[in-house]
Amino acid sequence: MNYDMNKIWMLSISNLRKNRGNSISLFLILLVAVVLMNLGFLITLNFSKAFDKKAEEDNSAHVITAMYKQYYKDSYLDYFDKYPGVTETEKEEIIYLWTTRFKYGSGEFVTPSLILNMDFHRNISSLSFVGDLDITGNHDIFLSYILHTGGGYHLGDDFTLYYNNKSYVFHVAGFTQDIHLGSITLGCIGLHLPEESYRWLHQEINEPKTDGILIKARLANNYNSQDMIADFNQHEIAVSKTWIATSMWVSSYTLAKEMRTMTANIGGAIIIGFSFIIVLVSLLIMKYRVTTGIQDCLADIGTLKALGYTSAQIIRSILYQYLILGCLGAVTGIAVSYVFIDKLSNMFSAQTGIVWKQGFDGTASLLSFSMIFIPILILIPLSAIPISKLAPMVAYRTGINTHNFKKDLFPIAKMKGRLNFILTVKSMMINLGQNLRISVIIAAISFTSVFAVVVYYNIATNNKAFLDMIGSEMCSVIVTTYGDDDASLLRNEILSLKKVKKAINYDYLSVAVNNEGSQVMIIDDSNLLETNQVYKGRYPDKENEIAISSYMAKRFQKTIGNSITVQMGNASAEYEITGLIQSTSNIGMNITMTMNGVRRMLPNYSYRNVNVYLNLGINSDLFMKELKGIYGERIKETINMQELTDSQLGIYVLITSIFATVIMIITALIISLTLYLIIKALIIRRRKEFGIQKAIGYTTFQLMLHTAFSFLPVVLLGTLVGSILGSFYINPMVSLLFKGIGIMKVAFVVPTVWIFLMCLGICIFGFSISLLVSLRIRKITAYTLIEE
Amino acid sequence: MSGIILKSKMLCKTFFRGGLQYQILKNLNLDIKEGDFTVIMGASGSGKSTLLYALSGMDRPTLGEVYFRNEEITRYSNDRLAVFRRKNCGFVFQQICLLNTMSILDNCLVNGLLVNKNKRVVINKAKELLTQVGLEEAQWNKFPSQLSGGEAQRVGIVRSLMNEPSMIFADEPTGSLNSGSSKAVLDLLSEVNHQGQSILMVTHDIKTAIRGNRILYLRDGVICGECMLGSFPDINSKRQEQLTSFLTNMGW
Repeated sequence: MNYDMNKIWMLSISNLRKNRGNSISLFLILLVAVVLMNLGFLITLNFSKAFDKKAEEDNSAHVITAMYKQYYKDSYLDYFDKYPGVTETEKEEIIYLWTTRFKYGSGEFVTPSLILNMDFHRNISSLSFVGDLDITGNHDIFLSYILHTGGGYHLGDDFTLYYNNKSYVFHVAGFTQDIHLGSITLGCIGLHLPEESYRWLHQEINEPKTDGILIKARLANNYNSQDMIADFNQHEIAVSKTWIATSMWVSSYTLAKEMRTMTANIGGAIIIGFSFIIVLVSLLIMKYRVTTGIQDCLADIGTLKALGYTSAQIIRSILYQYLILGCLGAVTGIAVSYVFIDKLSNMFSAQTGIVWKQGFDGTASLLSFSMIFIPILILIPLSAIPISKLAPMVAYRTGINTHNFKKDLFPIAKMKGRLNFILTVKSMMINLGQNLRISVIIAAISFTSVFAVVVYYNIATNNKAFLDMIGSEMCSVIVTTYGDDDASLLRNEILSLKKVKKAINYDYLSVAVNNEGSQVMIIDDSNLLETNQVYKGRYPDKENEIAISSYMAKRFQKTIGNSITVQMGNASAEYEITGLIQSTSNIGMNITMTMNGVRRMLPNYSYRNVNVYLNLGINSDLFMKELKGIYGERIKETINMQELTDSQLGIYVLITSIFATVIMIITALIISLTLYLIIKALIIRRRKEFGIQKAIGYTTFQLMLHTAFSFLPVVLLGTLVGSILGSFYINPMVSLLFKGIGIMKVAFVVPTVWIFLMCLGICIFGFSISLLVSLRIRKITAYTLIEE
Repeated sequence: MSGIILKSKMLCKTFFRGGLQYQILKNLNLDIKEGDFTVIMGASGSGKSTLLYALSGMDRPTLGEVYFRNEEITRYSNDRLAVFRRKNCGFVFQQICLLNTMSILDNCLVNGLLVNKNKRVVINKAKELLTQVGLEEAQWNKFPSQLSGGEAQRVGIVRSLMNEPSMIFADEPTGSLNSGSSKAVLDLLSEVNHQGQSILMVTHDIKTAIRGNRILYLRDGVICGECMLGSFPDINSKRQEQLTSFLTNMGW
């Protein structure tokens, strides 16, 4: 038995050595697949866990709320203390600044800021530093880590905080991590100041209303955090008798985790998907190599059988070749993936603000290994089954493999066109099965490339569809007034300005729906919106109508035509659902109503904001200065929305650019290796034919062109099929990917010119590679056929 | 050099195998006349095929020169040699070497259309030649693997004649055929020679060699004897005796 095994291993290893070039190419494809797959599994299996671990290390709050001190009531903390499952609570005083601005990346970021005294002794959400400190004792500030990874701040930099038309300059002394306060996607950012800086800022601002309270709670089971927030909202409404939710900020563990791990999880899913495509490509190549290998080595197989080898032994020797390659590729790929994990972690950190250090993970490695090993174990014996049907006599009748009794569908005499063209077509048709396999491979790769190109185009170049997808209304400038209906008047006045294309009143308010915290978008002119968030039904028109998010529809089991209760302070009203909207903000808890609809609960409420849309070519900053000059004190604040969006999207642009580049590089690599493997095998199989053609007067270049051109339609077909499928399925695919966060309708623009150029690029690249690999024909001399 | 189609000067061919040097052809000088049916004979390993392929531009000599109608072809690039072969040479191989993926008609056309772009003319010529060698229309669309050895070799000869070459190089053309097929193939070669076609053939078979009008004997890479038999009318005893005697003298 051992002797037999040794013989089989010898055969396998000798075959691997004999086909060194092919083995290396296949190894490289497997390596790329496993590197991506293991990275994908590492992210998917560990990123969220790392978030949980970090939260436990810092004893992070499961529920956290910030409010102005003037609205705070002791019963809130009591409620936290007595809430079922709460194990620990804490209250601390903060400076609560509702609208702050600071530089973020290349733009500016506007957000509520919570200023915390870092010398306060806290048990919940203890301070956690990242990296070195640079404490000077002079206006030091400790920024959230996201401001380093995404915002571009470094140790020792100046950090300027703008609040209420004043600026406050700090020295960046370090970076901190906090699961609730360290993100730009949770609606609030935390800034930690030492006692000295904290006192200084407090005095400088000198506004008692900015004094705030932060209440934190830890639960025995963090899964209940979202329920606790809903219950607290109800309690707060009952206790306060006034509506303070407009200025209250809350975050739950569930919300924070979902928002901060979403990009990484989606990224992980995309990487795994791409790696599966490459595994599929490698399996197709293996199948092709086994099939052609059997045809090419009929004589050897017959000889082995004549010598007494059984079919099973020969099949095992082939299987071992690929298992050796698979194991080598998988083990090396797993090892190499750890080289890239830090880079990937940094990339996600720029969006999530989470430091993720990943060590070796046995589960991910085992999964990646199995995804290569098991398909090989199944596919190769199945592909090699024809061996068992071969009789030993074929060893002496090798010619039988070249018999072709099929009808010649493309006779030279009947075909139109020049000889070189006819020979190219014949060459293509002779290897039809193999060519179809190449087409499938190229189609799969093109499909992925289309995905990368479309996503990149819609995020980095023309982001309208992306903003539509996440439900973000894109205007040029947001003007905030002091209320009392001035925003409506101001809107009419702004509309008369020449530079203005349109202006609409558009407000957000915090409310409760079915006792759960939610955000209402107030809009009367929905037909003037740039972004259509409604994917089913319509926007509300009347005061008793409402549109709710897909997430809420699912959560509350509601649909169009049903009614739903909305609460604001002590008031509440019932509304009929007219449409479903998609929105990713506020964990999908979003509704839309008209102003009259809101006034059913808050009769005196009036618009505070005007969304201004400028004509093409108008500079928003200059326009904002102009507005201040015209309207002066009537304007509380202006926000350059374009700049804000660009700075927020900057990180997505960076991530998609990296993704697109990596996918393009891998596409080029896979096309090169696939064509190399297949054309090399074809040249070896047809070397005698090439020898004959050279003998009768064909030049090397003619034969190279026949070969390369015969692959061009194959590459073209694959690219076309892949691109068309990609173009049609990109939107349903992205929708499927983001369904979990409430995105139901995706209308990414498919940039035809970009896709055409990409296809052209793939075809030119494929042809160049074919021509390059065909250079091997040079080595075949007319004399080859005599030597054989 | 009038009437000389092919000439070699100090032709040498050396192979290196396993670190050893094998000199196959040694300073070989040779003239082949236009219209001749020249036969090269010799024992196995004497360098017959090597000489044939060196003279035809299929292989490059290690040293020395080959002239085709006074033009040195040894300095040609590989591509120029390919063009030279397609215009001037026809090849008949022992292994026949038809393109297995093409029908027999296509095997002929694939050669003919390389030189003549007029497809109709080339097709007609191929059909005419195939008919002449006894292959009927029903067989034209068959693949080489569906033919007998003799039939396939006749296709090989038709292919070699498609471009009306100045010289046909035949390497053991009957080596893989039975006696019946061999005779048919040799008759065909004799017939085209009578029509003025120059032929250079390599063989170690007396029955095949007797078709030639000039027999050269190669031993250890050197031509050590030559026998002029005159043009081939019929196989008669005098011609047979003359060849046998020559070969006996050569140590055959």
